[in-house]
Amino acid sequence: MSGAAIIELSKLSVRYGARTALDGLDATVTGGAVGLLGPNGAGKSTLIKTLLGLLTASAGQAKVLGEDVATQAFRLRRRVGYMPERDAAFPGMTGFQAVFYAGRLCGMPEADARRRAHEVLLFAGLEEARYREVSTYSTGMRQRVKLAQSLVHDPDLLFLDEPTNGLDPKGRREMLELIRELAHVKGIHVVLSSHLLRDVEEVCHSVVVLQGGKLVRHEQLSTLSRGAPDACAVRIAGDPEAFRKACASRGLQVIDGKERELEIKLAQEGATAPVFAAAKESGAIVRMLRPVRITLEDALIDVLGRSP
Amino acid sequence: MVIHDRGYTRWNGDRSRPVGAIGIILRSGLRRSMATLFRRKLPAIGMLLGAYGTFVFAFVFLVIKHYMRMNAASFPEAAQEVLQSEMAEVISARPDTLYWYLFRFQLAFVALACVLLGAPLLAEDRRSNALELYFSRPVGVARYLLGKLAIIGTLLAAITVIPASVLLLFDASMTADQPGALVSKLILLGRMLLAGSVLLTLPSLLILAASSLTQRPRNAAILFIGFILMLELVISEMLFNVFAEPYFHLLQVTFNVSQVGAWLLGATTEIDAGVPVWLSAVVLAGWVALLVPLLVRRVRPVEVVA
Repeated sequence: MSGAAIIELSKLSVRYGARTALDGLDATVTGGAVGLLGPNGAGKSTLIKTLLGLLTASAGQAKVLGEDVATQAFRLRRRVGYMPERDAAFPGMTGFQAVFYAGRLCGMPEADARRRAHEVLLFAGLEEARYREVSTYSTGMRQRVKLAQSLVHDPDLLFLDEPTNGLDPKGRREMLELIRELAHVKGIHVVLSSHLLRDVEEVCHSVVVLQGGKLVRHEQLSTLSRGAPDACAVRIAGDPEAFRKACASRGLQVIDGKERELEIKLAQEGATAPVFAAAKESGAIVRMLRPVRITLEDALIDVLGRSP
Repeated sequence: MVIHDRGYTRWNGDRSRPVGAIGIILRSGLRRSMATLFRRKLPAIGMLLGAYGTFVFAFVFLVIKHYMRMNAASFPEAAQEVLQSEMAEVISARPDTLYWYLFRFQLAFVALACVLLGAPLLAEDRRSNALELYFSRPVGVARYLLGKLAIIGTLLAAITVIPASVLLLFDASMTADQPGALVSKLILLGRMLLAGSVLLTLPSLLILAASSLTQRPRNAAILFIGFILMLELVISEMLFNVFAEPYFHLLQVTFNVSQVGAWLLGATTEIDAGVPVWLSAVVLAGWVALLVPLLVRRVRPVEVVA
């Protein structure tokens, strides 16, 4: 699935009057599950809407699944599914009617749209509520019906804009499992836009990071959030000050970590013996020692902090 | 743990098949309008059914007219009585005039149908953010608007052009023995369809425009009624009464529709001689030119907040 480009951006810019929402984006995004990250106002939703042809680019070019967004928008929308961030529904329809209607609007024949509507509602876990009006659904159910509407025509690429918005932890977990299944099992490319980094970490292979309308990072998730080979996190029982002094006397740099963990920069990769020696000298007991992992949150803060 | 074996399969259908968005939106909209009407608006149903009363009366008149024509020799006294009654004027009216009166009388029901069934068409879609769902599919703004126009147009035609056409076809069938009259009635049918399109287009565009300006159908209805009342009864009549100038009637939507419709139907006796028909046509065209860009502007896939 990975390998072929699903999105190609060439100096893509979008302006709203004097304000630049996207500024000269250049990227080639290959298939799989891609996370679209960035702070509020970074341009994530603008990028998705531009790729769908809902917004017109002021400059540059964009291709999705090989189709030029500017000239082939209608053909492209038959192959792409979109789950909007905001609460969106066809008024006065039941879950089944809404998904059926969405399928018909994508050009599906009536019989196919009907069959697929039942299928995707079952997939999304709405089989028992499908004949109820969408206006009576809970938030989680509305999110699921949005997902079903985006899937009914079996798209090759799904744009999901904040899919876990408003969901409780159980609902969030179930939504992410559905998305993971689509991306990892069913072979549908997914672009997941979220400000919840855990969502992206759980689903995506690669990330695109935007800030202020500019592309600041585009790489594999495994590269962005990785382990730091020359650092470890330690939890001790004992006098932390004495332990710090003992570490300092051995040339070890101690930084306060999170949740009572001390982060220690080692002299070289894997050289943890001085840590134990310092603990013994200070009378402390090492309760836990593990390699430091740079989380996506840390990496993102670092990336966004360093970009102009 | 969530069970995933829920039968999601890939679809291998034809993705190049034409969408036919206008027809899909029309069918869905008609179904929804009828469902709304029959579920909650019993008085409205009564009123709309009352709209067909006009055509029932007209049908009775036509039956009497043709019966009289065919049997006057057998029932001369009865024929004389009828010809001296108040019904005589109606029964002997020219067909174009008869159908013109039918259309004029239906304008009130046209307004009612616009308010009840036309007001929610765009307002509810805007309120529920359905526009993002529509335009993320291969449906453009033009097809979306034409679909909505087709919904209200069909509903209005159901209480105007369609029953009038059925009536006219009945009338024509009763004159099958008079080829000249038959041909003229068939020509009148064509004229009536044209007049009907004029009668329906502007009210349809007006209610859609009102619906596009708000997210609540009730507000759209108030806007529509207020606009019509203001133009028809307040501004136009006030100016006419002050200046005694018939050209102020051009401000009235119903006046312009009446003028152009009467000319198209050939009911020349119903045209206000004080105002040229072509001026009314220009005003109508101007309204259309104003309303269409407004609709396109209001129906956007993305609301841009600068």
